[in-house]
Amino acid sequence: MFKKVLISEDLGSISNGIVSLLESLHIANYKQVQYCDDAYLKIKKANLDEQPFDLLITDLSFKADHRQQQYPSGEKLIKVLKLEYPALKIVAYSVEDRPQKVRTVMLDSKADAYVCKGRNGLRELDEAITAVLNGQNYLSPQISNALRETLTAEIEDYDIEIMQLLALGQSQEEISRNFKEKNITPSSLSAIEKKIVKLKNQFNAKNSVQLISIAKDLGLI
Amino acid sequence: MKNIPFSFLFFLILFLTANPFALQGQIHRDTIYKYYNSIVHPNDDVTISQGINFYTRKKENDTQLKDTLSIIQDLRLIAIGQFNLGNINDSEIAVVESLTLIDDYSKKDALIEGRKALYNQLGKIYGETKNYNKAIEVYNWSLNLSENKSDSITLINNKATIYIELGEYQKAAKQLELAQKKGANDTNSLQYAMVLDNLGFVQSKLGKPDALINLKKAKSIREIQNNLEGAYSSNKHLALYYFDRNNKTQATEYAYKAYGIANTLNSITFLQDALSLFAIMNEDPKIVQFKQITDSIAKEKQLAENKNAFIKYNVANEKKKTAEALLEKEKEKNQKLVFLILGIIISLTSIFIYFALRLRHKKEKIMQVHNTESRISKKVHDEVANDVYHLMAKIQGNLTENEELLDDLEKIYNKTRDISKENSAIEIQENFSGQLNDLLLSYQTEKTKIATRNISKIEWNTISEIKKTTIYRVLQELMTNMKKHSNAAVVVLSFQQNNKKINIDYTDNGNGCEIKNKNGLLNAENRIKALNGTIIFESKPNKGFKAKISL
Repeated sequence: MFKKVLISEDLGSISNGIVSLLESLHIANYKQVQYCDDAYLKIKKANLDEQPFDLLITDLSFKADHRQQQYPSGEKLIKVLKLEYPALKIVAYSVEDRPQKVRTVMLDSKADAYVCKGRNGLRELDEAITAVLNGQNYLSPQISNALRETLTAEIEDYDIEIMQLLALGQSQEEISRNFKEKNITPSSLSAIEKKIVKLKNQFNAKNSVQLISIAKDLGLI
Repeated sequence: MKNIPFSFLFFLILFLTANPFALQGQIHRDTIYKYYNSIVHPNDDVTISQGINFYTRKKENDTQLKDTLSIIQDLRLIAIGQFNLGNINDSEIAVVESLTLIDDYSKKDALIEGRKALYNQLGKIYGETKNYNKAIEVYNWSLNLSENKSDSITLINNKATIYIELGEYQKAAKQLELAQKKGANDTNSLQYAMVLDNLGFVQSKLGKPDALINLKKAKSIREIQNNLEGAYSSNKHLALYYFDRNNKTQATEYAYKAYGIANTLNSITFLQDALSLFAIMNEDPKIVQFKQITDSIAKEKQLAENKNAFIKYNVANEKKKTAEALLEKEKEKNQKLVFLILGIIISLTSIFIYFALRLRHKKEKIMQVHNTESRISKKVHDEVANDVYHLMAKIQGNLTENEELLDDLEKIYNKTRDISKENSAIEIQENFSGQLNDLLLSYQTEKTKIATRNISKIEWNTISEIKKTTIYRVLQELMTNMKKHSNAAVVVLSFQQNNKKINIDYTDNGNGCEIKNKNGLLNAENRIKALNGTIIFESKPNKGFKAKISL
């Protein structure tokens, strides 16, 4: 288990939640800070004293006050720490659940885990700590899709062409032949078959007839 | 003074071409006639100077009346008067001024006669100032305008006299023979006699046999018509003819005749001219030499005068220019003042408008802030406060278990988070299409599929930040609306770029509705209107929902 943990969080109540979690995990050596800059200094000092922290749990957004902060947000802090102390494990703990944000923190700043604050936040944080300890990354379930190649289904001209031909009553074989004549690729029967399955899925259609009906309703063909 | 007889013929042209009473309303006819004659037929009653004075004043008067035709006429008479007084330069100035007026006159074609006469006058001026080349050039201009035969005969004759002055007798003879041919149908006219007389003189200089016949014929015509000035010229030329041929008796006889006519004419110029004949024909070489020296001194004097006149003219011009420059300066000063005042007025107005606009803008901004505030407060009240109140009521009634309470609390928490998300500042990122994708994706569920069309083909970096923010917000609102009400299975968003314009078509296959109360979408509409874009909604119950955005 982790020996020395730093909590960077400006809201006391949340901090307390984390502390109670740590205590239940029998981690007694923890420190709390309310600013990213303080977190950075603490970690640096601990390293110089050769008693380094091995886990940081940090919020991403902090209330700005009169103090000029070198690291105004968690992402920046994480990025710097990961460059200087690669051994330090970092868990981001934030209310933010936009995939774009999750991607920035995980891919750009290179945090080890991202946990969303919420009703199940503490339980997920527990899971995250275990995962990170085992050298794995962790994401809260509601953002588990964030890191995947996540594009909405973009409808290509190719898809429109297939649906138009289907609407004209052509069979998959006929479409394949048609595409070969027009030099449209891919034109193989299997590729067209796959595409139609994908389109049905995309449009929540049970069969080709419903697919065409929906596409017509939406004005695509 | 060989050309004295010719000058009179010029006046003849004037008579032919210009009616002195035309266009002269206010001044009494007799007065005009008196001064006209003082210039054209100088006599003792009124001097030429008085005539010039009269026409100078008349010209000023006509200038005020803007009567261009009269001004041209006045200038012409001033030119003739000044020429006769020997003020050749002033005469030239008057002619040039008159010609300039004709050039600027809208109906200048009607003034060909006047122009011809002025060219003739100019030719005489140049002849008098011994500027022979220019004189010939001017006569040629005049000839180009001449359709009237008698005019052109006079002009050719005048041109020939210039050649005589230059000593180019061949050229003179050629011109005069041309004039003779033109006048052949009226062989008794004084004009014809003049041509014949000059031709005879030139021929005598060239040693042609016809000389004597022509001279005598001219003389007889003039004597029949009792033309004294002409007869003087004829006798003088005959005297010179015989003198050139060493026939002293005949020469002296004609010289005496000329002298007699000069006496009858009682004119000093004619007398001087007649007496100089005797000087030329005198046997004493000293007197001949005296005559030659007198002539050459007179010539030198004339050339010096020309030069002097030229300098004087230049000085006068210079003065005039300085005066004009001063006037221009004054004018410029005034103009500058006008511009300055105009500039001040414009800048004051623009400052005023600027402040007025700023005030309005400020008001609008404050209004917008108020609107946003009241919208958010309404949302907090409707969505959060009500739920919290509801929850409180539940707890008070002790009706809830812990788990249920937590569920309710989570719902409230999520609602507040949504409100915060909707209103938090969005950071437009480099990869805006990805950002939009994430937004749309967050609304995708198993039941509701979201598809896009051509979203990656938009060149987002050419679109302004504010437009992108608006697009983000509007799509967010559309999607929220969709999630709440539509129950749609599929949503399609088609993007299209037209230069700086973005068109987005939103279509879903959900419940649709009657578009009456656009409460939830009013914000989207306002946002788009603020950027001069349009948004059109289209929906019917069970027919899905459509929105066309153009921004």
